[in-house]
Amino acid sequence: MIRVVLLAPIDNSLYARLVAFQLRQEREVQLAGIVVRSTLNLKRALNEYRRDGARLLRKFVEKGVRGDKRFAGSAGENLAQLAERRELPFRSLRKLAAEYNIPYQVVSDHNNKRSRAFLETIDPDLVVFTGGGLIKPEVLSIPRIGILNCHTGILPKFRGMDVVEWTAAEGLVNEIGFGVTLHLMDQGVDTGAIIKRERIEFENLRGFEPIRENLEVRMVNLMVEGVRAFVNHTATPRLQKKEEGRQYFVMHPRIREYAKLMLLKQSKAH
Amino acid sequence: MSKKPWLEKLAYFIEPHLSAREVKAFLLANFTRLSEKANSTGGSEFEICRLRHLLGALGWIKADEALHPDHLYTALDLTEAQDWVARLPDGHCLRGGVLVPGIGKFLDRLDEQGLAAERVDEEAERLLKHIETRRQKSITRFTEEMSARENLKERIDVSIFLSRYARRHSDLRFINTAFKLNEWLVREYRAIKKAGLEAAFLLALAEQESSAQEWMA
Repeated sequence: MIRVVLLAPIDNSLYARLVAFQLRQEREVQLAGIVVRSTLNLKRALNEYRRDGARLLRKFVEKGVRGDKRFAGSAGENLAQLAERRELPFRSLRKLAAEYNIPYQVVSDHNNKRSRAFLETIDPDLVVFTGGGLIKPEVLSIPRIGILNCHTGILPKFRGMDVVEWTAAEGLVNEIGFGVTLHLMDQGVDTGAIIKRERIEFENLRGFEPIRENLEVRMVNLMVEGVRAFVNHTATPRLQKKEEGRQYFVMHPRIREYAKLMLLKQSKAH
Repeated sequence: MSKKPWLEKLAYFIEPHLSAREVKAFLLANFTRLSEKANSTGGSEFEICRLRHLLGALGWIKADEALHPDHLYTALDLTEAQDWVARLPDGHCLRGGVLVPGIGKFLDRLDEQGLAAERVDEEAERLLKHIETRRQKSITRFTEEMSARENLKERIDVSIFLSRYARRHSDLRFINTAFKLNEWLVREYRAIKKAGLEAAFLLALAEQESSAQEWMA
């Protein structure tokens, strides 16, 4: 039996709920705790504004306010459809935790004393990270195996932010492709050992949003597969070399427009 | 296409960005004004000549004369740049968010000559991360006391370095950051003019557009 704690960015995160729900159904996996970052948190808002700028507003409205409804009108495969297929009954992680009697903690920051104390008490083998900021060494060192993260890009090449768009902007859609990478977290940004990667077919996906929604579905499956691999002792982490990739940052609107054109160009050539 | 145009408009209101058209209009309007001003104190001869050359190369003004060799490269003495690198504390020009003065101009000078390549690349990467994580608060703390004018000059020099580095190394990330840095600087244009740094900043914008054109034309 492997003890797992889930870290989530917000209580109604659909990605986190799906992962938690799936893990609950896995044999040999005990979902031993859930830690959620508080949403109404000025320090968090300021930090995220510093990182994302005005895009934070969009993120807040879409994920925080609209929640699952943000997929309404979306044609392709997305998390809401996956939730329907899996018959996910919970609208929040709090409700899921209450139903299954899973210890549940709200924290302002995943790295703070309260979060660390909670994790140390539970003493997990593995932590699955579904969002909520960078994780510091003091927390990284708590779980016996490590902290798993799913990145919406192909590592080691594309680390950091907006990597879906950067893949297109760099003209590497056909060479590298779009996909998700499951990796263990370390002190760097997306530099930890790679467990598994999965590429997607994108020809029928028109634009970055459908691609991203498709990747989110893959993230749920890959995260659960990753945990399963550790249960079965079949996980083979592959270390990344610094020079194998670059860190990318939030994309400026002008570059985004260019990335859109590049995506169109490369999609036609595929 | 965005599902929520009102959201994009609100985001733009909070943090406006400059389109290519707006940058061009801004550059041309201010360059024209600067050129027409008799005894302009808005910049050095190097800056204005290079600016004219770049605007001509962009096809935005008529500039038939080739750039004088003296204006091809920055006027910095190469030895000065090499000495600067040798004197860096701990070998880094940026540590804990604090920068060594001259970071933009010296890294640029070394890079344009292909000197200390590994060191320049490493420092460029650290500078990129610094600006992207600290955003408007980046390039404000230095190892020495600095006047407001000197601080502005440092930020402009860094912007110029980012654009040129992007071009030399075909690294779009640096143009991405140059766009942001210049947008933050545009908001301080009044202070830039008052400090006599107008030509320097317009040059930074022209360098940005020259690099952008290589990819996005």
